Amino acid sequence: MRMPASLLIGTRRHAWGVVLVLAVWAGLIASPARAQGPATYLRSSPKVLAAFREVVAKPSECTVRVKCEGQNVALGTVVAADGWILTKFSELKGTPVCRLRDGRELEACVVSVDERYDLALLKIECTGLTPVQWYDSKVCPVGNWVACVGDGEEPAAIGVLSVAARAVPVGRTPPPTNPSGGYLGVGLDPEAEGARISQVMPGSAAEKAGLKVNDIILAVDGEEVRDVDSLIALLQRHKPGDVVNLTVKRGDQELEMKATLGKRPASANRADFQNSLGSELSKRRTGFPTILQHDAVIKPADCGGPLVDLDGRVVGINIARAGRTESYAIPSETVQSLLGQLMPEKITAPRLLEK
Amino acid sequence: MLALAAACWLPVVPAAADEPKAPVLPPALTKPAPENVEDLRAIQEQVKLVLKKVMPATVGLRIGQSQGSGVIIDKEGHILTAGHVSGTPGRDVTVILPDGRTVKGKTLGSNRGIDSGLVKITDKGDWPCVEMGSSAELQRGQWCVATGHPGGYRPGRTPVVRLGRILNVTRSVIQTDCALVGGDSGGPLFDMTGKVIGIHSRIGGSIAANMHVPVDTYRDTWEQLVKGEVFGGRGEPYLGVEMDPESSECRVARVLPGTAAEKAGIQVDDVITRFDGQKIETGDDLRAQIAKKKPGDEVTVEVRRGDETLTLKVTLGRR
Repeated sequence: MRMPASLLIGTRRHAWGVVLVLAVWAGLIASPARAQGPATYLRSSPKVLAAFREVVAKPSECTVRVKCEGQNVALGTVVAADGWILTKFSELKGTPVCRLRDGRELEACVVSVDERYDLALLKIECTGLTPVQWYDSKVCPVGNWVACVGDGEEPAAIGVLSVAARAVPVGRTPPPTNPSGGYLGVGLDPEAEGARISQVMPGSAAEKAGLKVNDIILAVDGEEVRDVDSLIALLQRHKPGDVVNLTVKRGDQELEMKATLGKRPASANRADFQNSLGSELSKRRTGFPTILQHDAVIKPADCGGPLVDLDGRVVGINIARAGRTESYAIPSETVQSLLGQLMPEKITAPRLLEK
Repeated sequence: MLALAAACWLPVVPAAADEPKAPVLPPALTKPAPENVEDLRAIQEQVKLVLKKVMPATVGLRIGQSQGSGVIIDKEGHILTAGHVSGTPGRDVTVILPDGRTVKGKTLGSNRGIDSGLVKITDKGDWPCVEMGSSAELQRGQWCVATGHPGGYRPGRTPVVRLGRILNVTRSVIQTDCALVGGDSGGPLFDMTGKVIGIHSRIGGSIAANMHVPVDTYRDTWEQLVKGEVFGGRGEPYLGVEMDPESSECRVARVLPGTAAEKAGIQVDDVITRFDGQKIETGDDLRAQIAKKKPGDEVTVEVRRGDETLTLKVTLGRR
C-alpha cells in the first residue's frame, strides 16, 4: 500500500474556522511503504538492535513482564530483591501477574501508587530477584544512545536522549488564540487553486452542511473566496452558532449551502492528529511533573521497564509513548525519591549511584 | 560503501568559512549497521560533536500565529526554514534562540514547489551559525541528526534531538527515519560532520516517512530567496504524477486526482518514456521537460503500460 499524502508539519494555532490538516503534497515523494523495503537502512533495523544485546543483558535481569487478564500490558522494574516491582499504573486492571526471567508467573498486589507519575509499586511473593541499580540521569547527556530494556535478549526499542531531565509545568496547555472563533471543520488542499476541500472533519459544521471532499468554496455570504487565506479571513469574522451561506463548486455544479459554524473541538487539533501517525501512543501520556525525553519508538505495553545508556546504566523508567517524536521516562533520581514514599517504611529504598 | 557528504563539500553561497579538510568520520559510521557496542560508542561520540556545533544555531520561529523551526547559517543571521513556515515575504518574525531569548526578523523568499524558505534576523548581533553541507552526494543509510521544536518552542525544553538514517534521496526531497511532527517544520537535518543537509518539511503516515528539503536547493536559488521572491509551486506547469523513487525508470506511483495526468488517462505503474517527443529515463528528466512548458500547453506523452506503448495527449495544468 502506498501512502497517498504527506502532511505539512508547521504548527498553526488559528482560531479561524478552518483547520489546515492533511495538506496533500504533490510532487516526487518517496512512498514510505517502499522506503521501508531496504530495512537494513532503518535506524532500528534488526542488525542495529542486535548490537545492543550486550547493553541490555545485565539490566534485563531486573526487568519483568507485567500481564493483566492474560495480556501484556507493561514491563516492570525490580526495585528490591524480595519482590518489589515498579510499573506503569494506568495500564493495570484486575490482578496483575508478573512473569519473571525464569518463566515463573506470579500474582502481584498493588501496594501503592503515585498518580502524578503514573507509577504503581507491586509486590510478589518471591525472593532472590536482581534489583535495579539507579544512576543519576545526568550520566547520559542529550544525544547519547538509550535502550528500552524489554523481556527478550534485545531491547524493546532504541533511540537517543532527546532532552535532558526537566520539570514540566503541569496542566499547561497552549491557550487557543481566539476560543470564540467559529469552526467550519474542513482541511484544505494548499496545492489547489482556490479553497478546495481535502478533508471534512466528522461531526463538524461542514459535514452537517453537506460539504464534500473536492468541493471548492467559491464564496462566503456572497463574498468571493480567492484562496485559502481569504476563506480564513472571511470565516474569522464569525462566532460559533453563526449561520453562513456558502457558494460551493462541485464538479460542474454550483451549489448554495448553509452552514451553522461550530466550536473548534480539541480533537480537531492538527498536532494531535500528526502525533498519532506512525506509532501507538500510551493512553496516559501527559501530566508527569519531571521527564526524560527520548526518541525510541516504544510500544505502550513496553512502558514500566528500565531505560539504560550504552553502559547498561539505568537512568530512568519508561513511562509513556507520548507522541510521534517522543517517549518519556521518569529519571532515576526522581524515581529514587518517589520510592521513599511508595515503599513501606521497613524497606530501605535502593541507593542512587553517581558513577 | 557510503560516500560521505563531507568529502564533497561545495562552497556555500553566503560567505562560508574556509574548510581546511574534509573531516574523517570513524569507520563505524560507514558500516551498513553498527556491529557491536564499540561501533555504537563511536557513533555516539560523533553525535556529541555534531550537537555541540548545531544546538546553538537551532531556532524556533513565530510568524503570525504559526510556529516552526529554523537554523542560522551565517553570522548575519540568515535562517533556513521551510517555505510553508516563512510564507509571504516581509512578515515579522520572532526568532527564539535555544536559551529562550527572542530576536526580531523578517521573512524573505520561498519556493512553494520544493518548500524552501528563508528568514533573516534584523536585530544586530553576531549569531551562532552552522555550515551548509551538500545534499547531492547523500547516500542511503548515512546517519543523520535532526533538531527542531516539535509542537513549537517550549520554554525550558532545549531543541529536541533525534538520530536517524537517510532512507531515500532525490533532487527534491530527502527521506529519513528521524521522526518529525508539527512545529519541526523548517528545522535542520545534519550530516555527521554537523553541516545542514536538509530542512524538515512534511510527514507521511509511517514513522519512517519524514521528508526534508535538500539543502542544495537553497544554494541554487539563494539570490531569489534573499531578494524575497516567491517562486515555484503555484502557477508552474503541472502534470500531476508522483514517480516511484525505487524505480530505475520514470514509473508512475500515483496520479493525483483532478490533474492533467488523470484527465489524459495516465495510470499508476505506467512508465513514461517520452514527453513532447523528448526521451524520458528518470523522474528528473520528466520534471526538466515539464518545466520547459507552460500551463495549458498541449503535449504528447508516450507511456509503456504492460506490453503496450500508448501515446496520450495531455493539457498541462497549473500547480
